[in-house]
Amino acid sequence: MAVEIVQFGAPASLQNFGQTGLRAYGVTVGGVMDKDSAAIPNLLVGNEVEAAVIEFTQPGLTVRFLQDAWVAVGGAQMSVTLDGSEISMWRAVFVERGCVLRCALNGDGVWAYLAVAGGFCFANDGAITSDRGVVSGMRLSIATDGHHSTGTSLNPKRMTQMRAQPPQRNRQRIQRDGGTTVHLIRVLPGEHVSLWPTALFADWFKQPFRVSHQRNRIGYRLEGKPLPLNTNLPSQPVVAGTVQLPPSGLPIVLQADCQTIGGYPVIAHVIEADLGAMAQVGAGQLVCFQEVTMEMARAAWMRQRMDWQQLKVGLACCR
Amino acid sequence: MQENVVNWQALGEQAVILQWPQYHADVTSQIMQLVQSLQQSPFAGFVESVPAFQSLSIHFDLSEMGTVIDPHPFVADYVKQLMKSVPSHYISKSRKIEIPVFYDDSPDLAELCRLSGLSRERWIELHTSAEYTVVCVGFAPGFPYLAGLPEALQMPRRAEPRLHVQAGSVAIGGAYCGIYPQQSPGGWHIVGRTQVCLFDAAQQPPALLQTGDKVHFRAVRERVE
Repeated sequence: MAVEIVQFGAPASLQNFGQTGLRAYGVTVGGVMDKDSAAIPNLLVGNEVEAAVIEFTQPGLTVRFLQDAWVAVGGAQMSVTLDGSEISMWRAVFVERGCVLRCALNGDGVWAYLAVAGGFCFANDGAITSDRGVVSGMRLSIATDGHHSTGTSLNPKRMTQMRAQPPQRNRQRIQRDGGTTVHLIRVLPGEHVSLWPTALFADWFKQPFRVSHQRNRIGYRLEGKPLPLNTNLPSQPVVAGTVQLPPSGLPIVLQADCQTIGGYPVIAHVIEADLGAMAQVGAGQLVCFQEVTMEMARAAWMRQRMDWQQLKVGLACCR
Repeated sequence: MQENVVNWQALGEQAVILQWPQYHADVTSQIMQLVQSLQQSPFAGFVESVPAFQSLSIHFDLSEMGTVIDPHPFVADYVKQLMKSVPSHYISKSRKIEIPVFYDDSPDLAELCRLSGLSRERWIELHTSAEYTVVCVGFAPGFPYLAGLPEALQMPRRAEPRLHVQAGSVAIGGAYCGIYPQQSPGGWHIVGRTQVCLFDAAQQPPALLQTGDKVHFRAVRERVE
């Protein structure tokens, strides 16, 4: 009972919403880079939002199914084919044993997700300390104990109607003159901004930054006008979304697999609701940071969970 | 414990970070005492705490905070109350761990001796006679930052970090000593190797060394103990 990985774009991995409890031992939380884009396919196939999915990126992923399964794909723009015929993203699709699902990223976005009804199984109880990397020829099991499933039995007639809109709420972008797109990313202020004169920092921080090619699941480097500073701070705990300013004077946005502690000045934190939007900004694209209050950040976090809940309830009504 | 010298700030939506104004040996034991107090009497929604040099982050789950409207000041107050109840002269019961080190397998020791003006024997003697305290575990899973490196041995980090440092490498960087649990890039001077396993995902807890532990190094003549 499994699927077989035929081909993938490095780095592909098995991810859920991450694992806490081991940060004090230097173990990162991990988890999907874009929670909205993993949650929606999971809900479409009757899973809980955080069930384990395959996360993949350029150029894509090819999987052969060794069993029948309901699947859904979401995330970065891609063309998806099942044994050669095109299928849509953001909807539940039935895959027969022996079929080959091919996903090829071909547009906006960086990270894509494949969810299966039941969720994928981790070899080692889902412990993030085990190897989560996905390689060619690897076989991944699909859970059958219903652990990650919402418990609704899947009615084939109804399942084919399961579709959803791609995440929109936390994806603000503006078109500038000349057609360039700027992604707006909401942030909370960082504790070390007082190292600079207030006006100087604010002026620098409002520039659009370009996402560098140097980016991975640990962090994204940004390019722009630098703000260098030589400091020697003791390392302190950091989280996904923390924006650090290394001696180069150009920010790094920490991501899901970031280290547990870091010694660079902390200049901002991307709000949790916008972590997915930040992760999906491709190399060469522009981001602008927009400072919000803690109340606004919490409201956005709440709203994101309400959207998932609403979709879950809506889909359950159709089943 | 003096709770009024500690500052707090938000670390994103779901964590508070406590900062001590400066590092000294008492800070580590105060932090560890708080970690234990929080484990024993957690507030609803508590997830975990992460000690660092002179800070401690306290992570919580927004969806488990119940009727608390503003969780950050709530958590900060809760922790400060915990600190008040801890005696200021608290002496923690630290674990003592000995790490055997094979100093002959070191690419950097000769250069370190030259720079510090110490003989090889004297360098190793100083390194093995000191008692170290794990001030935090980070950088990589299971990597301990050890305070207590004798001043004569302290040395700024390498100008050029190595891309590959072997697992088990015992190293020094600035005022700290560390041990690389896995092969990784690293900018510290390597002074020897140990066969001790510092991180095993199958173990509970997965890291051999924890914040607050006391560590001694012992020189061994053979690579395998």
